[in-house]
Formats: sequence, C-alpha cells, structure tokens
Amino acid sequence: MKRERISSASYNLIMKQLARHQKEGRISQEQMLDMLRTYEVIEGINFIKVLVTLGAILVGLGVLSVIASNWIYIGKLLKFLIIVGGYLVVNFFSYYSREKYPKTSRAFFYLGILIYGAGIFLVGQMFNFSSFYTSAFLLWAIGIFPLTILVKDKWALGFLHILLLIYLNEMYFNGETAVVVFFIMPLLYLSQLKIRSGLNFFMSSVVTLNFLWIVMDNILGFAGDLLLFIYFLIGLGLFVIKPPDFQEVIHLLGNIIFTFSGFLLTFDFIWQQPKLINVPINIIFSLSYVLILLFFIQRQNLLALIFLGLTIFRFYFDVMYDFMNKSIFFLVGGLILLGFGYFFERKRSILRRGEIEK
Amino acid sequence: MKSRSLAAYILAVVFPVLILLSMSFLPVMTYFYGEEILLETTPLDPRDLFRGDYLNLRLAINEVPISLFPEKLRYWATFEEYQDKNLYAILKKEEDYYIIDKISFTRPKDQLYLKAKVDLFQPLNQENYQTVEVNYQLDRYFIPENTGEKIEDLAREGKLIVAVKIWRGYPLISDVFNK
Repeated sequence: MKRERISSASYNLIMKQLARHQKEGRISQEQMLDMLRTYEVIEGINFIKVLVTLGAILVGLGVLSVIASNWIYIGKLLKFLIIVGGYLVVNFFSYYSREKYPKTSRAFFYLGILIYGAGIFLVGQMFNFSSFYTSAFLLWAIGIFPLTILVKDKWALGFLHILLLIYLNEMYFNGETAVVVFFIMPLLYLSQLKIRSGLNFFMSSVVTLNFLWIVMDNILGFAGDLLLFIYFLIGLGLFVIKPPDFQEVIHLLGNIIFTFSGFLLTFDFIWQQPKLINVPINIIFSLSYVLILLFFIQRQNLLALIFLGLTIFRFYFDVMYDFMNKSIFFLVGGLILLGFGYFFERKRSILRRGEIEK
Repeated sequence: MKSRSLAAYILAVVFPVLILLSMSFLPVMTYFYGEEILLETTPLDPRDLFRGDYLNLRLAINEVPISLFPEKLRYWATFEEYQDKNLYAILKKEEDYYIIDKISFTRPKDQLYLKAKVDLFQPLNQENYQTVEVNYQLDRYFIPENTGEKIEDLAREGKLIVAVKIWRGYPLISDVFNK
C-alpha cells in the first residue's frame, strides 16, 4: 500500500477528526487505525535542526572568509594544519554524537564539508594557483561524496550537485567540456539506492541535461537555435513519458524545459535560419507552441498557462507598441493581464477541486 | 547508521584530506627542490587587475614571437596534426631575467622549462600572427586583504619582478617585488 505523505499539522487534524468519529461510534477503533496507517508524516522543519545547521553554516562561512582574507599573521603551514585539524575534529564530534544528538551530529557533518571547501581554496591561495584553477569545485564535490553517501544526507548530496553544476559551467565559459562529469553522472543516479530523494533525482537530471548541452555545443558544434529546439523536444518528451519511478519529478523538469525553451524560440533573433517558405520561422514555431500550450492548458497545466500569457504579452508588446496610442496600449495590455489573472485563478481552483475529488 | 563500520567512516573522512595533500604535492616539491628564476612583468590592462585579494600578473614571457615555435605549426599541411600536441617553453637567462629560448614539442632533459598552454586556430605565419599568447598558469598572486594598492600600481606599470621556482616544468610563484 502506498502511503500518502502529509504534513504533521494535517496529520494531527485528521487524527483528531477520526478520533471524534470513533468516539461517536461511526467507525471502529480498528478502522480508525487502519485509516491513519494510510498516511505518512513528512518530517517538517525542526527548530533545533534549523538552529544547529544555521550555526554550522555560519561557522563554515567564517572559516571560508578567514581563508579568503589571507591573514598574514598566521603562517601558511599553520593555516593548513588548522584547517585539516578542524576538519578532523568536527567529523570526530559528528561521529560520536550521532546517536545521542543526531541533529547536532548532522550540523558538524555540514561544518566539515565547508571546512574542507575552505581547505581547497587555502591550498589554491598558498601556492598561487592560476585563474584557470577551475577544478576547485570538482575536488570539493568528489571529496564529500563518500561521506555523504555513508551518512545518507540528501541535503549534502544536493549541495554536491550544485558544486558540480558550478564546475561544469565554469569550464564551459572557459570553452572546455568537463568530461570527468560524464563519469560521475552514473554515480549520482546510483546514489538513489542509498539516499532516495526526488530533489536529488531532479538535480542529477539537471546535471545530465547541462552536460548534454555542453557536449552538443562544444563538441558537436550545434547552433543555438538547434540546441534550444532539441531541448524543447526533450522537455516535451520528459513531460509526456510515463516512467515507472519519479514520474512527478520528471514531468516537472520536462514542463519547465519545454515551456521555457519554447518561449525563447518565439523570438526571431534566436533563429539563425530566419525564414521557412517565406514565413518567419519564429512565427511558425510560435503558432505550434501556442497550440501545444493550449493542449496542455486544457489538461490543467499551470506552467503552460503562465507561458501562454507571457507569449501573448510579448507579441503584443513587440507588434503593437509602435503603432498604438500609448494610453490605449496600456489599457489593452492591462486588460490582457487582468483576463489572464482571472483565467489563471479559475484554472487553479478547478485544479484544486479536482485534487480534492480525487 | 548503527551498522556503519568505523573503518568505512574513517576512510570517508580521510579521503578529502588526501585530496588536499595530493593537491599540495607538486607545489611543495617545487618549493623544496625547484630552481628559482626571475621573470619580468609587462604593463597590464587595469580593468580587471585587482579582484578581491589577488593580483593578476602579466609576464614578459606570456607573449612569444612566432619564430620561436616549431616549424610544423607554420604550415597547414602539418598544422592540424600538431596543433593539440603538448608544448614546452624552454627558458634561457638574459642578464638578470629569464626569457623564452624556444618552444618545443619535446620535454628538454637538462634545461629549465615550463609547460606551455596555447590555443591555436590557424598556422603560425606572418599573415596570421606576429606573437602568440602563451599561458603558463602563472597569472595570479594572492596578497593579504586591503594591502594591494601599491603593488597594484606597480603591476599596472609593469614594474614588478616575479620570482618563480620551477620543478620538472611545474612553476610556483615564490615572491613578487619591485624592480
């Protein structure tokens, strides 16, 4: 049986209600417990957790900024030893407090990650590594990978993804392809076996798509319009497939990609091949894009509705601004927005009602 | 968490420390065993000269005349085959400072050299180039916070001297001072 995940506040409300029904004799205790078993409480934001994590992050940032200021009063070697020593000490504390104080233990683990990052930048500074020293973020990500998997921390794994994205794009802006990420990607997906998390599956997919983009641009030499069009198709594909797992995450990713890349493709300056059979290609694309959006709006897709609004508004601005009297222009523009606001609200309430009925 | 073996935990904790140590290996070896040479700087566009707490450096040896490059890079016939090959900048002393003697495909045995990184798109002939920009990963020098103004002026005017230690082609900036 798949249990529905709800917040602890909702769970408490349902529990109270069911207890009342049971007390008043509408359901038996067994039925009540049976119903409650169909819910799973999502672990919400915990005050202590927020406090210790914030503390760890602040201390970590403090360490990073001490390193960045390149303080002359401590020698280089001493600084290095302080960093390594500090890193080992916080991990020691993290290990020994893991059962008694799990939240504090986790905070120490985060602190260790930040101190290690500071260490990487310290080494770069000690030896005057050149500006082409892009591997810092890669080394940071690789270094924290084993421990993150071992302690099964999904936030640290999310942070690791961000580090990889920074590295990937830093290399990209230097005109290089970060091939090593290709070998790390399978590990990112494999980590789902240890740390199952939709957030990280989403991030891994972003890394994959980012890498694919760079390969198509740097190695295959695809033009910008072709790349965007390919991503539009990929997005559509991800949005309509029915994968056995992580369906919601994949649909969300596809939804974002196809609406956004499609919107960019409605602009004529994006296209290097401006005309197709004498009609501007962006117009042909825009028409098909609007039809696709309408199709998904009819299936209650909110993002499609937002982008339909954006597309209509952008064409309105593009075409009408030069021709119309300013006051009429703003008037009509305002009416369009109001209309969309109304339509948007109505769709959302329909969507909500649908969910309740389900 | 309970079943986690302590050994695996220790390995995972020590792994980042090993990365930090391995990053330091080449520079430390260069620090102890490298031969120190002096290099001149040239004036630098001041716009992005000083970002935060490091100084951008531009060395005289960053600009290399095409005549010092191997012949195979001068003609289309051989250019494509050789354009991505590793290059070594062989150094020679002229008065107090070192300059480039030549750029070679082979690692020299008993001369001082630096690994050279060059982006080449077309053959090195007079029509395309006079000089080529060569990167030795020697473009950044970290200084303490808020101490940069004086040294920044000197760098802008190209009046700085950079002391570099070299070990097996790996450079480590050991000092930067006024001419």
